[in-house]
Amino acid sequence: MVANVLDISDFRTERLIFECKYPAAYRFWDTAGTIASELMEHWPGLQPINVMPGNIGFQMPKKFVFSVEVGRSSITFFLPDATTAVAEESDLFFRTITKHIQISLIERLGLRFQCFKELSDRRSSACLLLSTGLLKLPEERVFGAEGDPVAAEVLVTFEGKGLGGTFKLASQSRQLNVELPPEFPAPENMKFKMDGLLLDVDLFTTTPFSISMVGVKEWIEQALHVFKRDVSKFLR
Amino acid sequence: MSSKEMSPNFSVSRYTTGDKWVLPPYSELSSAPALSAASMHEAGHTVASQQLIADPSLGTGGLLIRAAMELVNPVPAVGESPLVDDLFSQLRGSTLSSALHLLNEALAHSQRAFDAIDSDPVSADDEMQQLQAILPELFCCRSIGDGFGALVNSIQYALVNREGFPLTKSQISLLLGAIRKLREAPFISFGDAVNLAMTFEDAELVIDPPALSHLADEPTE
Repeated sequence: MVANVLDISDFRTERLIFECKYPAAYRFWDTAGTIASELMEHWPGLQPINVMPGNIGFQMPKKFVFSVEVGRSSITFFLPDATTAVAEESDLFFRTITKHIQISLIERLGLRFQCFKELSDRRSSACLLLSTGLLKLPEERVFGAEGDPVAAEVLVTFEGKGLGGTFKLASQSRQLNVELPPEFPAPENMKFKMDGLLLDVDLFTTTPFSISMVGVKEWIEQALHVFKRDVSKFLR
Repeated sequence: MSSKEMSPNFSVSRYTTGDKWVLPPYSELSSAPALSAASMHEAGHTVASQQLIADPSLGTGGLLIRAAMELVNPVPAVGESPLVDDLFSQLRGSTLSSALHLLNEALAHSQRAFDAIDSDPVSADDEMQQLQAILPELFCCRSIGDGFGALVNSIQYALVNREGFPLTKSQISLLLGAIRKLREAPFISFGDAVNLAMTFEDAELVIDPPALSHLADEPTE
């Protein structure tokens, strides 16, 4: 058995986003306060981060962020680990929202995985991606540039009758500059730089369906299973 | 009020017959197809208000309907709705997959009972007995939702309360419809499940637990 060039376990899951889209539910404007109160009952310590007529948002610092809008709701988990009850928490969030905005149809459910593997530089990120064989490059010199590519990206989307998925693997350079006001004596302006591979997988439903046809907990458990089962097939 | 006074957001149409009046879609485009009120309702639109207005220009008996449609969660015009199996095609070894498998069996038994009731009532009764045997196991899947548990429970009591008497065609038809609904929408809300179970009473099926009936019969003094 040939070992994979990359393995899912090489990547650190940075964000896991569950999103539900529905046709505009204007009852949200009447029930936003009730939704906020109930979310805070379920998750004591929740902090409001956005309170607008069309959008309310809450966070549990460094754990997750909720966002509720007229046409969509989402929960973003930061650095989830094995102990993070993604399916249960999302299910409770979803049931709390849908109870109050009284939707009967779902346009789209999605679970998105954003994972990152840190590497030494851009060029090695691109080389590692190319070694998966997902991209086929011309052998001769192109664009008048010599040497290996410094960046690469693969994106592919599948859509079935009920389920679909997008797989994206891309070399990525991240840079963060913190410019301190001059009155700060030290330290010097700080720069953070990070190169690596971004693995971005989005699993979703492809057509609208009745809310009574789906259980979020069950659907997320399925998506988590599919992610573990199928993503490694791309990384051979 | 004349038609000129109407807001451009309101659609106007000629009144037709009976309760099958016609509403144009929420659009002023004349090329857009007209939809019946019933189909609009089925599609998730809620007609918030309507108003009949006499309009002499339409001749004797001519009426206009002014309808303000509150677009509450309208169905997006995209594709065909998937089946539960499409949404959960990758789910294995869970309560839901067990429930869907059992519901397939329950649906097959009740469908065969319905098909046989006129020509072979004994076979129909046999199929309903087999359906009854599946229900306790199906009830074990009630963690799927309150609606699911309530509807399975109602079907179970509807059969138990027959006390061995075979079901009529209309009773089998109702139970078949309920099982089909559960198969299509296992995450049915509790309210919808109760409403569906209440229709069993139209066919003289009792959905209360037998013990509850005895309690209700107890003299008050």
